[in-house]
Amino acid sequence: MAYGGRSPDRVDTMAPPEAGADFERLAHAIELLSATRNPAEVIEIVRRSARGLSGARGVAVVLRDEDRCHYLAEDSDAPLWAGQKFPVTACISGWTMLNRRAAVVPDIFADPRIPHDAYRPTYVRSLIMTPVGDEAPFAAIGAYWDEVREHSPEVVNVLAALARSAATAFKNIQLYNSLRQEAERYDELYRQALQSERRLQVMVNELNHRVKNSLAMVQAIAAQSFRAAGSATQAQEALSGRIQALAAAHDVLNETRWEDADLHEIVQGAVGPYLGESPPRITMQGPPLRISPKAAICLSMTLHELATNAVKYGSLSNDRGTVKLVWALCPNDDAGPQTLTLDWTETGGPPVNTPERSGFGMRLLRRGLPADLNGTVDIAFALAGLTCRITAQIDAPPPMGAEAWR
Amino acid sequence: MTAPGAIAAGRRIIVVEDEMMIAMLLEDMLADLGHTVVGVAGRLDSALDLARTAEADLAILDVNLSGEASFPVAQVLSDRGLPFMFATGYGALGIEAPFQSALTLKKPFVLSDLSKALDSLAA
Repeated sequence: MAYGGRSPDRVDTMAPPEAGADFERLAHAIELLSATRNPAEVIEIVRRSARGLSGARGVAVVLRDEDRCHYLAEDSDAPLWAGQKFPVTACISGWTMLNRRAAVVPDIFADPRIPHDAYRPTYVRSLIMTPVGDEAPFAAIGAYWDEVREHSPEVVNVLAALARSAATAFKNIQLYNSLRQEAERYDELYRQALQSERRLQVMVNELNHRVKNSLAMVQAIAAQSFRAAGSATQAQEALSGRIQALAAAHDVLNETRWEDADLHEIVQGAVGPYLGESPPRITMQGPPLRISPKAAICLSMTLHELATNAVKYGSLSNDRGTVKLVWALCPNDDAGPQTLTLDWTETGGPPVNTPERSGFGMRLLRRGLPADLNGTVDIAFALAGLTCRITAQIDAPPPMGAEAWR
Repeated sequence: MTAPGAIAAGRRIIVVEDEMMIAMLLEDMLADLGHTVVGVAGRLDSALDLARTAEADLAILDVNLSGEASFPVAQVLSDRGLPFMFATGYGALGIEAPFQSALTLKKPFVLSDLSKALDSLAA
């Protein structure tokens, strides 16, 4: 295989300059340029092929670096300006890039565009500077001779052909890189989509478990409501109220995707209808506090039972009694759970009698709550009104999803 | 004598369930079936205590206790030779080794489901 290699080795194996071989040299250089994916390689191919193609004593590859021209690489038997930078407006490579056409200079000292001082230390007497890039040239190829000479159109054309080919190579590399980036971006999007799908599946599973659990709870609430009720109508009323309290707690929890709940909102959901009255029948007072989903549901049900009981027998059974609900958090010394104290105090109701048998609500308060919240419940049937003090150990809210795994 | 396939009433039963209302429902159902609940635990630590110390004939275990699996409780019961069943919304799918073959009561359940499960546990 004679052509088409794209490694730097292929550049090294390029044939040395030889008269009458211009077409093959040019074809070889174009072939190498079309195969490379690396800008540094483009510069190297141009550097190595330009001298042979033009028959010049030396060549240089110049890259535009903002307002400077960087003489990046050269192939010359005596050093020129490799590594140096000149202002775009003060060198011939800058002129050729700014004017988007080649500078063909038979005698540099007769041409005012040339900064003569920069050339005095060199052998250069004559040059062709060719821009690379049609619209906005970003590089140039310089070819230098050590004698004054009239340049043939063939030499000018072959350098222009090399420049066009180099410009195309740069453009292709840019295109190739942006396509590769695009492909990587799509890969990433695809990965993200797969991840989202997996997450969604996990969430659907969690939701299924949550729904299952809620159904089991509703079943338990229904069974308890019917068991305790004196009539079907009473059972229906009790059940509806309890399901509403459960639904209100769910509404609050849904806002945080079941991570935690604001105690204020839970209270509002549970006893909301009495807060809106003027003057309010239930007043609440306490700091903002976030509680776990379990505590939220438990407190919501409990407060609903207390309110229902107050409406039936307590301070909300007449038209002037009130309930005061006050909570506070007592920080513990260590980093463990904190103790929440919640006081429900009824005043202004009819004289209170200790009930003969405890209904579901009281049972829930006395049995369920202490177990669920790892706390205590003290109910006192004082003559002036029922009081209930609830204490609960408030853990940090559990991690997302822990509550749903059931 | 009891009816064939039905376990004798008066069994002492441990209930491990973190949802208070479901625990209360279980208590009532078990009372209806003539059994006695000797302890209810809703957290892993208290459930382990109960499983180690309670004078009981069998246990009903919820699988998930506020995010913690109840399998250590099952292990304690197993070591004591006490029969137990899981009650879970997962069905048998959520049960981990070595308890996959343990009896599972799928939530939600009704009284006859519970009664049948107790019979199978005794069989």
